[in-house]
Amino acid sequence: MDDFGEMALREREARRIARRQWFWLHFAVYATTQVFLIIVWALSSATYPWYIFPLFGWGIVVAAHAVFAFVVRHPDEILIERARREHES
Amino acid sequence: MGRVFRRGELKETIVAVLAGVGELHGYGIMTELKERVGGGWKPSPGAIYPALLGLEDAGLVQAVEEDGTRIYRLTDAGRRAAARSGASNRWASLTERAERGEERLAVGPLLDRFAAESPHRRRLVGPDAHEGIDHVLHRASGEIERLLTEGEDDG
Repeated sequence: MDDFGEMALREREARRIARRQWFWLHFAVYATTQVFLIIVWALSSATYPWYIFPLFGWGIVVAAHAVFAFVVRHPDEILIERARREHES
Repeated sequence: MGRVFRRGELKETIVAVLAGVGELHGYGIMTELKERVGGGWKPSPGAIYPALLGLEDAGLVQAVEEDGTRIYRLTDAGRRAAARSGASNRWASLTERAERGEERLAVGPLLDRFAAESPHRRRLVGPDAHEGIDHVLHRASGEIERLLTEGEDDG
C-alpha cells in the first residue's frame, strides 16, 4: 500500500466515524423521547402502558441503525482493509 | 453534490485514463480524472483506490511497486476493455452531471435558510421545488445575458 492507499484508508475511517456519530445522535434523541414519554405516562395516572409502542416501534429502527453503523461494511472498505493486510504480511 | 459516476463508470473511466496516459500512480489518476471531468467535481481516494484494487482483481490493471509508490498500467485484457468500452466519448456527460451538482450546491444554502424558518416551509422544499428553482435560474441567466449583451452594444 502506498501513500494514496493510506489516504484512501483515512478517508474511509473518517466516513465510518461520521456514521457512528450519526447513530449516537439518533440514539440520544430516541432515549430522551422515551424517558419523556414514560414520565408523561407515570404522571397521567399510569394506566395502560402505552409508552411501549413507541419504545419498541422506534426501538427496531434504532437497532437497525446500530447494525448499519457498527456491523455493515462498505465493500470498498473491505477491499482497502484487505490490501493493507496483504501489504503488512 | 449529486452523484457523478453511476455503477461501474468510475472503473471504466479509470481504464480510459490509463489507456490514454500509459502508466500512472494513484494520485495521478485522481488528478487526471478531476481535470477531465471538471465542473467542480472532487474525486476522493476512498473511492478511486478501491476501484483500482477491483480492476487489479479483475486482471484489467497491473500494479508495479516503484520506490514505495504503486504505478498502475493496463494489462492486455485492460487494453481490450478500453477499446471496447468507448468511455472516451462519455466525458461530456460526466462533466454535465458534475456541473448540475454544482448548481444544486449553490441553491442548497438558500433553501436551507428558507426551510429553517418553519416546519411548513421545510415540507415545501422538495424535488419539485428544485425543478422550479432551476427554471427560475435559467430565466434569470437569460435576462442577465441580455443585460450584458446590451452593454456590449453601447460600448
